Amino acid sequence: MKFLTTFLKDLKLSFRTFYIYIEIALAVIFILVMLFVLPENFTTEHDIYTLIELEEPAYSSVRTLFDEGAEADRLIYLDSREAIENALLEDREAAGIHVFRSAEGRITYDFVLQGYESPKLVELLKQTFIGDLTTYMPDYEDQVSITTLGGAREKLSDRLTVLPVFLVLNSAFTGLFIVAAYIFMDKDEGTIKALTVTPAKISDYLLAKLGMMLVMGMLTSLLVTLAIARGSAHYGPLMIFMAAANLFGTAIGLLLTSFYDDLMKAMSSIFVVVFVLAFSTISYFMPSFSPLIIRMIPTYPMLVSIRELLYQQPNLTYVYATAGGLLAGAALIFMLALYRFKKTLTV
Amino acid sequence: MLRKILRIAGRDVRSGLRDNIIVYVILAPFLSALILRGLIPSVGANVLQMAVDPSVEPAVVEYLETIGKVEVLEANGEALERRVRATDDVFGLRQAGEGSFEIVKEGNEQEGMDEIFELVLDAYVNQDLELPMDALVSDIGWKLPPLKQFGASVLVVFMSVFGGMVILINLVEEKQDNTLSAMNVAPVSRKAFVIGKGLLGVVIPVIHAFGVLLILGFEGLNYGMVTVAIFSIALISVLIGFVIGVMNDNVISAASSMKVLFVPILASIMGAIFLADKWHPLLYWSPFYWAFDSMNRIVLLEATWGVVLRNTGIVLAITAVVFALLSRRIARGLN
Repeated sequence: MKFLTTFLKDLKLSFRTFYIYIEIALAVIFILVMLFVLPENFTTEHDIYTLIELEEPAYSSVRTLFDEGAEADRLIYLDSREAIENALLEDREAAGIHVFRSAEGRITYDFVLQGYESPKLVELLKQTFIGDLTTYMPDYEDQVSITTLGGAREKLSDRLTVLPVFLVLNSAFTGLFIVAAYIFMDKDEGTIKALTVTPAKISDYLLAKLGMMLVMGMLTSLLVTLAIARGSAHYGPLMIFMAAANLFGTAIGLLLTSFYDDLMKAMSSIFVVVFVLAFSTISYFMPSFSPLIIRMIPTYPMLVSIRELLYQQPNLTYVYATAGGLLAGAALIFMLALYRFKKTLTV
Repeated sequence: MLRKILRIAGRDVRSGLRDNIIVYVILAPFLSALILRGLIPSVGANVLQMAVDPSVEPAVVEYLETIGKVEVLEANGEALERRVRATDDVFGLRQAGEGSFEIVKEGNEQEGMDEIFELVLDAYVNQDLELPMDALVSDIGWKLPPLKQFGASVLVVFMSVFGGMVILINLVEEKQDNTLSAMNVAPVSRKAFVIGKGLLGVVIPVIHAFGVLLILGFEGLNYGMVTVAIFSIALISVLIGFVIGVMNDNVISAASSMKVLFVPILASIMGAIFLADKWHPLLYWSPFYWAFDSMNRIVLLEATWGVVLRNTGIVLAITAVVFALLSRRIARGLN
């Protein structure tokens, strides 16, 4: 009952301080940008500047091969090697192909790169080309099969790929910073010290804060997902997961707050935590770079789990296991925060 | 007046040092730059990651190690499937028979990588075939990876707005403690107070920019251009910090407003990096876009004073418009 009273009081305060309106406004801005400003797929593949310096009929054969290839749309034909190199200077993520006849008379494919590519990437490129070439040879042996464990997966649009990042960094961790602001405001007003002389328990007070952040997190995540993913998301598991993630994020905020007397002091630690948590987005967007240390950051499995729930056939076992881990983590961190608050709260 | 400005700035430094926030604000960008410098060689080093079970011959493993990262498992059977199902993008490989292979994938890996893996294995299996063409790889000698290029610019622009945020929180707390209104009866002019409060927010980002670029090992940069570019963006960040700080009466609204502020900053920077050029006009309203553009050109050694001054002029023009629209509100909030 006391928890409910405190929770409703905090909810009313959010309306008075416009916090709820700001959170909803932020969600609406995100929706508007994603739906009306950015196209559904907004990342671009860079051009491949191409030069074929061969005589007929070799030129036509190679040109036909390129025009019928998967990357035909990306090829831009130029008339000199110098033009290729100048084009690469203008676009630092582009590459070139220069096909010519070597001094020994052999047709040579020269892949012109920038220079920052790793040795393994360079070798991968070369072996991929050689492998592709072998498939056209009469004595080619097809000795490689591919088995898919989970069934074929559809490709998510860029819009849906970005959605988990907003849900994690905004909706799940909405409490991390704001709960600190709430508690310090209560400290300044003397509300929190009143707990030592009232029947209300500190646990009720902290749980009310968790509840407050949970309401905000669920509201914004539901709003944004409905607008952007529409029927593509699995809403039941998603809401369960977001609840677990939000409780985890707010519990961290409570624990950090317990170590400080005011927001300015707490801000530094909060920023460090946010910075570390945001790091996992690098591996999320670049799956080829996902060292264990980054995969251990809690936000990484959060991002992967939410993305799972946007596929037609999600791996629910993984999602629920992650949610369970987050809930367990939230409970443990909350107990630590409660211990700290009880210890530091004196009349 | 100069002495009063420096005294106000000095008070904020002392108060910040007591809270450690100044220490964090000063050190954080340098630590971030050190972390980024450590990460850069690893990112992009291994595009293809593979896990192979013991059935795969050592010669194949040796070949695969020239094109990606290989993890050799200790057990056959289910262990490979378990490894592939882990959250990272790893392809499994087992030997299906003499000279034949089975690639095992989960189905959610980066598009096209399974075909690439298949082709490199085709190259290995058919290595005795006489090919009618040769392949070679050359480059134009550009050694700056995109992560270092964009990472430096993102870090420098992002850290420039930190000062504004510290001012925001500081102002709200002073409002709550009533020390802000006490300034109205103190022998300090409104102008001196505002400049003193904002001074650190403008000076520190320039120091940060120099430090970050030096730590990341950039050479031959025009630090004069860096100073001009960062000064302008720090100025608008300080202004925004002031506006939000004086317009909010409590820390909760101020903290929420700060969150809202992150949106245009991140959107501008991410848009500048990931959007095709034809979409960039959508970002022209944002001073952070122009600051990022300046920094990006500077690290690419392509910046000219004309472009840097143009971009800085746009940032200052936006700053002037924002200030003109909100100056009365700022003055009311400081009462």
